[in-house]
Amino acid sequence: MKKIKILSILAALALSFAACDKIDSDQYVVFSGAYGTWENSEATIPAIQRAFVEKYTGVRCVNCPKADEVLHASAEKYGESLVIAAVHAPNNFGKPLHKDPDLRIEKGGVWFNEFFSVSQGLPCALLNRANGSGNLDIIQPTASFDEKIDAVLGQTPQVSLICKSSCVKDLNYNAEVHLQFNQSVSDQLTLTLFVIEDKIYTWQDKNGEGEVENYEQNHVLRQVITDAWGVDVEADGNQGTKRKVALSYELRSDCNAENCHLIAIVSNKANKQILNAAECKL
Amino acid sequence: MKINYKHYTLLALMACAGLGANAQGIMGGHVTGNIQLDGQISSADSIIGAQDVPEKLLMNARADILYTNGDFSAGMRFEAYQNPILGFNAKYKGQGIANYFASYNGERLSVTVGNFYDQFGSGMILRAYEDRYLGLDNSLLGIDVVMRPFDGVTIKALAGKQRYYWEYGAGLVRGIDGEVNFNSIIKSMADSKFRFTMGAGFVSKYEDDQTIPYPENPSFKLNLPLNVGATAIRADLSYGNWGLQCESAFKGQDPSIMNDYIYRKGQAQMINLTYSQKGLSANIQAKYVDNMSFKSVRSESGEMLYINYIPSITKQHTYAFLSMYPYATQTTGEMGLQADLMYKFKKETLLGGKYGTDIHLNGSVITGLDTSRIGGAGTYGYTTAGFTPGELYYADASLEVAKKLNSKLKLTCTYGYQIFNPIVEGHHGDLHHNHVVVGDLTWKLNKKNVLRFEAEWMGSDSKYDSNVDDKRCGDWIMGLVEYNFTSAWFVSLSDQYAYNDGVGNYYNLSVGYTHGATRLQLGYGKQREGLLCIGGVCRQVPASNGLTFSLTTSF
Repeated sequence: MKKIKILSILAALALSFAACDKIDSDQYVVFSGAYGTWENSEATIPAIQRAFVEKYTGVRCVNCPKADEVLHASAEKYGESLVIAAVHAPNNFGKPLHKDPDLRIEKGGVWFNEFFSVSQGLPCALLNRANGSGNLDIIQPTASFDEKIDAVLGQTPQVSLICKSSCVKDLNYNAEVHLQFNQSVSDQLTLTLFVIEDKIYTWQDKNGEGEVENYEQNHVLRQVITDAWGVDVEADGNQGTKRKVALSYELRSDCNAENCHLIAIVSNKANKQILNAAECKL
Repeated sequence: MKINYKHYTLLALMACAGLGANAQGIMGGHVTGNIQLDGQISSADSIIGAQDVPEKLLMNARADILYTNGDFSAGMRFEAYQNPILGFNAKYKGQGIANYFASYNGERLSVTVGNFYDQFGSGMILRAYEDRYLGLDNSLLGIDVVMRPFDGVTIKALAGKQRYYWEYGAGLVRGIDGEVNFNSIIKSMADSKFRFTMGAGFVSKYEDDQTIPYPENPSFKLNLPLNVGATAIRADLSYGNWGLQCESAFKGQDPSIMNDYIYRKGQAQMINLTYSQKGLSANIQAKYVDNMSFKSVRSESGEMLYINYIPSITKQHTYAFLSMYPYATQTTGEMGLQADLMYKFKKETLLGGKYGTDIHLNGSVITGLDTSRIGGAGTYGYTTAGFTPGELYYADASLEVAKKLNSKLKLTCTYGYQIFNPIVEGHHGDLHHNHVVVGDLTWKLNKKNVLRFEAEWMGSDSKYDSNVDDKRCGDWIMGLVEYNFTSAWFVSLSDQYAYNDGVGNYYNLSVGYTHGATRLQLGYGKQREGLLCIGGVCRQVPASNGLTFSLTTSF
């Protein structure tokens, strides 16, 4: 009996040594957070100016569906020239209804808190994060603001860009962005990449109708791949310079890739104004 | 982690005091030790590929000192590589105390702290050992406990870090092993002809995470297991003249540079059946190894930091041409068989003659595994078709007949046939098929004077190609004359010459003197580049041309 006890103690001791990690096959490779280096690009990059609208919204914002209608009409009108992201605000307006998924993301909150005060009402929108007479031009998107979009689209693009996306495996994606300096730019620029998703169905508070089930949310900001304010564009800024960068990311698992788009925006690092944008299917 | 000299200053002083006391009588204990000095002077030879040695003189030296007092012992080893002789890793350059320990060895408990060597079973999951000729030392610095709670049961537990030249590897090795001798613990089996021992062990290594980029996409990295475990179970049975040893080992996911960072688990199986009686012994061995390279640092590709050891099942030849193509164990994957038979024809029989005749027949074949590739780093790696053999790596068959011709002459004749695949050394090319014939005649002139003649021939289908630069290729002849006189001196002269399809003429002259426990040897000649393998573990030996000397002594 004593021998059995001793052996049992030793067996327990042996088990305490049994340290062996197991990695599931879908976890052999993980995103390292590393970005590729900037290189010269040989790609053909059309000198197209696009407009980027970021609409701040929320499922508890009763007037936000109206803004959706306005933006939907603009999107139909401008097609690929208009790039839209719907940022669900990091406040009670964005708080999910019932047991819906939370469409707010941390980096969307970073943007909101940067541009707006706590008392900012929804919906609101920014167009290329542009300044109007010295102040940030906050747009009330419940009415058409196509004339402002036209003004942006009528500009000669200082920088133009294209983006490409490809799936490596499962939720792992590669992204590649090519930039072209159509004019010399002396300011430091940044490149920000993020993913938006269409056709997310949630409850939505709607003016006059109350809580509406299976409301279609489009252009929803789901994931910012880079830092919230992007990565530095490594370029001399001279007219004619073409640069490219590749990076990879893992799409969040609750996204439906078929409904997702990748958006790239080039901004002025100092004042955050957006120079141009591009969008592609994931 | 650098070796810290402060930790064993006291130990060193104690050992030195022991020497001063004429190696005896410190507090009732005693001091023993041994010293070895190997030196080399080599100069350039473009034909054999020897390079000039800038230092002119290379030297390896070591001294082991052991103090024993009852159940207590302590020891240290001084090593000096000023600079390392050719073939030893340049990281050995330097000198200092490379090994130190203190140990208590009681009836039921043994404890060693400091550097220690140990082994679980045949070593397939853990073998900390040292081989000075290979330049290999994977001792563990830590604590090693051996418990014998009652007769027939042995438990080992250990933890430590492995020696890495003059430092220690970052990986932490932990292990526990138990062995039960049933003939000791079951009284009714005590006198049985059936002997039965079983054992099992578990070893785990821990290593911090690091960034290994995913080759397919550098923005991704491998998700590395920080703890890698390996376990083995073994049995040793015998009944009368028969014996059977078997061991199975399994290893968890261990992506490393050795397996191209794949996530496949590893396993090794070994079985050995033996039979022996007076005048006859035979054994058959089988081995299967799949992804069993187990190192404490995943990025180490050299000869160091192996936690385990996969035993070799090919014959370790002693004659020059038979050992020209040694087989290096492929820890990433191999399978093989070996059969060995030794028989003595009795005196006064047709084949035995007046003095009897010894024959030794050995055959082995090693192949790769039949695998289907899935991918490289960051994948499962490959699948195997069970125990189906893959590409032929090595085959060896030899017959040795030794016969005493009269009271003064003994003749040993050997024929060997080998097939060697250069892929086991990391090269591509055709298989080498070699026939080797050896004649070895020993002439005992009188009690103190012995002459030995050796003649060897090797015929090979391999041809020297300067692009591959394998200087073993071609057909070779060799002659050797060795004279041992006054029981203390010996002198030998040998020459190996590639007479067809090869390059090189390797002559050597050696003189040696032995007095008591001291031996001095001088050699002058040329050394062909190649592999030196001991037990399937190999190191590359570059060509050399010049003088070698060696001094060993013990006290």
